Amino acid sequence: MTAALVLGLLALLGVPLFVVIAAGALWGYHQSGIDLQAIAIEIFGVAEMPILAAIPLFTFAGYLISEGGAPARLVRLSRVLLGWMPGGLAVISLVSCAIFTAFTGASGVTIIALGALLYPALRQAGYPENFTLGLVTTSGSLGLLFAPSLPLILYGVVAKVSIDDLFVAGILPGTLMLVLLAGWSFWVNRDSRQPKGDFSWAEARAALWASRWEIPLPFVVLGGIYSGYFAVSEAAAVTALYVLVMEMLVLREIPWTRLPEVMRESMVLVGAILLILGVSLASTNYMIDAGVPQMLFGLVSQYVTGPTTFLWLLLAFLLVLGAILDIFSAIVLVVPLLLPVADAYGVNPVHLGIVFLAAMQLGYLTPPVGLNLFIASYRFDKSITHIYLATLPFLLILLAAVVVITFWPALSLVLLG
Amino acid sequence: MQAPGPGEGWLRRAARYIHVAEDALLIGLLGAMILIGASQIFMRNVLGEGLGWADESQRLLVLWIGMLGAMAASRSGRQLRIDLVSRYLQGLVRRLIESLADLLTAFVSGVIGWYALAFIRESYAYGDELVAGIPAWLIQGILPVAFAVIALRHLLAAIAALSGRREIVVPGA
Repeated sequence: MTAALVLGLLALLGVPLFVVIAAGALWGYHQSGIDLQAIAIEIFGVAEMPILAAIPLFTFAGYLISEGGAPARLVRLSRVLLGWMPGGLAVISLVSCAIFTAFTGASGVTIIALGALLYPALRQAGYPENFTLGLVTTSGSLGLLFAPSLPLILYGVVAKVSIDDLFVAGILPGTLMLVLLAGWSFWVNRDSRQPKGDFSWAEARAALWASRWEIPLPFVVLGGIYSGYFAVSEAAAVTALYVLVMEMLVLREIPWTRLPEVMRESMVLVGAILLILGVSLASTNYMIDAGVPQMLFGLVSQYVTGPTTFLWLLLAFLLVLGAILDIFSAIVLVVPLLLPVADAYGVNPVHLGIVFLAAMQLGYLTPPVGLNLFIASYRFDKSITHIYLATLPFLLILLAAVVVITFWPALSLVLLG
Repeated sequence: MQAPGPGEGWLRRAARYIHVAEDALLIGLLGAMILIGASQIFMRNVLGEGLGWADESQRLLVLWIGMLGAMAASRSGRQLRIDLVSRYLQGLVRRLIESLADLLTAFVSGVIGWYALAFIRESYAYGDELVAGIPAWLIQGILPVAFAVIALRHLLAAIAALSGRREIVVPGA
């Protein structure tokens, strides 16, 4: 217990999480007289999970696609298709950010790549400043629940749940979040008169033509996975190759000299995630051997009588967790301990995954470490407090969505049959 | 980049060459992973037979890419962490906490690297082989190397922060 408190304190002081986790595992081995070599054997376990290949491949594809003109084309295309609706531009922002985040792995790149295009467009169309800031900041992590987002894949790897199932389970909960936020955007702007874009066939054709190389991508990836034609890691290889050929040979938007830098940058994130995953394999196995999940369950069951109370407690826990820990570390560290406890209360592991990610999504928007708040503050040159207050209404709506997702398992599971 | 001071020229140059080599390896392995993954699908679906070694080599590439990426993350101080200190503290207190965090990181990585070395020595003694007859210890060898480099990088970051210098240049870190 003391060891856990010390480790928690070290984590709060900014010691890299892999160090905190590894120190915990080494201490545990030492206490139980296990040879410390075991940590190297556990880390080598990273090389024994075939599905992990999807992580570097999708991350690279996401980084590369945000380098070229794809963000601008995505906004243009959604503008043509959705711009005729009242409040259309707000809906455009939500939809294009969700698609973009799903494909780029929720690393904050959405706000940088799309926010810069959407923010001026929304302001120009007469949306209030705070609404616009809140919308763009919130949209930066909106597509987390849609395939092939990186957190969904990582949850599948860690929880040993079918990633195909997770991809299907995320569709309705993710759509619920989109619909609620779009509804709020309509409501806030019901009295203002934004110029509605006229639908133009000529512009629609031009925008579709401009995006002709990107449009097949979701169909190839998702169609391939859902039809069972590719495994997830194969779809990732196809995506990476497709994006590479499209950006470098067909469209030639990114100079060749830039490519090595993009490859390296994307692998820095991958390295940081895989390092934590590696040391977590050691600490998780140790904790499971030491009976930590049973102890947790014993502790929880003193206060929690049924599944409903458990879900409330889970939700509160995840919101606090999301406020201090990034989503990747949280998945790797917490899911293995949470799964057996949730299972004892009859929570489906696929549903647990969707609840977990949906709740962690709020963590991007909550102080003290919410990533989106900091990126937006930097990008739009406003104080963190300003961004936080502007985001608050959106945060509350997403919170409502998370509550619905938590207590309505069918929303996640119905499409699985 | 500032001009190298007297006597530091070769250190800087050596450090730069090592960074370039590290990046080149990382990039090359990622490229290999993309090509192997894509050709595997082609072979399996079009020719009806996949490459026997493809799946295993993809798994081993993940390990190497992960470790090289982690080394790169340590080079620029970008390991995942709870980032409260650098956002809410300043001055001496912040520098002290950050350098202690770096020292601890260096120590723990050093310990992992040491035991990883023991692990591959055993593997060497057993003469295990992985994909295509490559000895296992050679592939597992990335573990002690990566953790040693990570340890060294954080040790230098700690020394640099404590001594108030922006950077300390040592080949390979």
